[in-house]
Amino acid sequence: MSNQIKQKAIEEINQANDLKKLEEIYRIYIGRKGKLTKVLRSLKDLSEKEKKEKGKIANQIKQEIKQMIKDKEQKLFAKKDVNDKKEWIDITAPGIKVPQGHLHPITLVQRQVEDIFQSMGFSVLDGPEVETEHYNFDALNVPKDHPARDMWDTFWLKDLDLLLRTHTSPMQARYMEKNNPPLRIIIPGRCFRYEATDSTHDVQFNQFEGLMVGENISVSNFKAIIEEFFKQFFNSSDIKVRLRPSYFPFVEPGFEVDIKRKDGNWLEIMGAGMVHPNVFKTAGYIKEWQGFAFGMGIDRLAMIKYQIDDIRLFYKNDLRFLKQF
Amino acid sequence: MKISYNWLQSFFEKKLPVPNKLADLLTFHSFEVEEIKKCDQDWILDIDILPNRAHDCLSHQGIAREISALLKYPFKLINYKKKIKESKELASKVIDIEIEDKNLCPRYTSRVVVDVKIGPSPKWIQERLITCGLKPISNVVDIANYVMLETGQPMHAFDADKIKGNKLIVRRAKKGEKMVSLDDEKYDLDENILVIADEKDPVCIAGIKGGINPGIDEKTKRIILEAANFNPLVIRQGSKK
Repeated sequence: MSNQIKQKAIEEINQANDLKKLEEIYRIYIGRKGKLTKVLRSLKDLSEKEKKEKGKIANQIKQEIKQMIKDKEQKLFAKKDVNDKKEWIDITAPGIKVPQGHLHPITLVQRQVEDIFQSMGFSVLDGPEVETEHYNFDALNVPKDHPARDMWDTFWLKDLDLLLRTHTSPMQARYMEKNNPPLRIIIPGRCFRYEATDSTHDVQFNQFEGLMVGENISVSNFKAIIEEFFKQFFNSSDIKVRLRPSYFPFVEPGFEVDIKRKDGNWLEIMGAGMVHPNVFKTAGYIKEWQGFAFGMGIDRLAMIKYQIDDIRLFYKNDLRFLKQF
Repeated sequence: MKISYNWLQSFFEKKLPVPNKLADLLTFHSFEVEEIKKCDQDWILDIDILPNRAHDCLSHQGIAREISALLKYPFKLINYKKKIKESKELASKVIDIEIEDKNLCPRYTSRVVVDVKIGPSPKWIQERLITCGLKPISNVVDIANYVMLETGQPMHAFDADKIKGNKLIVRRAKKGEKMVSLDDEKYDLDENILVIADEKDPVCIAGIKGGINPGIDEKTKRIILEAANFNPLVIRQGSKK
């Protein structure tokens, strides 16, 4: 039995003419499931005497085949070297550079926003993307069954009694619960809306929330700060901001903020307002504080800054798009 | 909401600013005007009225009142008393109204109109409805819609001769009750839904859908007009179902 295997193996080794084939032969005969290995394994069922005898032969054959394969391998290697020497390699040439990653446009804009606000003394905070109904709605003066809830199409996590935050505003409530004014914060983050997508709406988007509360913070403070922000962001001293009345349940009064573009047209860019007394009350403030809050789309800023006309491009991960930043 | 410029003008003796100017005025003081569109002799202003002002501004009267305050133009409601003849006979002789729970329906008013001839409504009413995005159906249905667009108060009309027992009851629906609406949809009702019922069956889902059974048709002679206030929470929950 072992001798038959040996004959066949020798024959095949002699015929093998490349390293790959040789490797295969090794696997077939003395690999983990190889023919000879099987023979060796089967020895354990034989009597002591037979085991000794046959084991010796089989081991010997194994060694022989191994040696033969090794010899042949060296021969093939030598041959390969000869072939390779025909090709010319300039070993002094510089290597191919590993491609370097770079930041996503949303990240770039977010960092710029953070820098500007930090320079004005705002702290940057982070909040959970999965929220409770309490922080996303109730604490922000949006009671259950109030028609204002229709303003946010929400992804509900029904079994968990949670939701994907529809705005970054819940962090206002979370932060004010634990901190007393005066305070100045911004909270950038991802938000979700359960709605049809188009060139300006996506089911997920990035927003940053701003909140400034003190003893006599007013709308004029807001206007000054936000005007300064846009001046720095667009790197232009000629930025005009105007406020229009609007409604968000967590502010009173509420307004839309427009900025004037280079072409002279006004562009709606964010929602803002003076924090509603109910929001302060829910946060547990007893003293009469006042302040403003605002929410702005980071995607929207990026779209304006880089002149991108479709918000969905940000999440498509098309390298042709991403490599431009 | 689509608001007709000419309709607004009818509340004022003074000439209103041109549509573009009026739109700017509203946008900078009250609500965003999303679109201004010419429509025959009229202009349509599509005004985005947000939830905090829905109760007083979702109507032509409401917007006119807002404009009156902004421009300091005197504003007058149209006096219909002069235009409508009333008989001495009481509506309560034709129909009996019963409210089971005052909390769910703080106020229910109705009037009865007799000797009605169903047909198309006058052209000017049809035009205003079309301008505001509604389809004219018949004089009775149209006037109910017209009143809603003007005042913000929803109305509903029943055929008085199809109400069983001459009685309308405002109550919670019973589990298992069903109703077919005017637009031929079947609804399964339960206790969370407020209905108007006659002696036997629900004839209307309060504030949401009219039923087909007492609906107005070409043979209708006497109508009951409903103008009611319902508990907003119950209506909202009902409409979500």
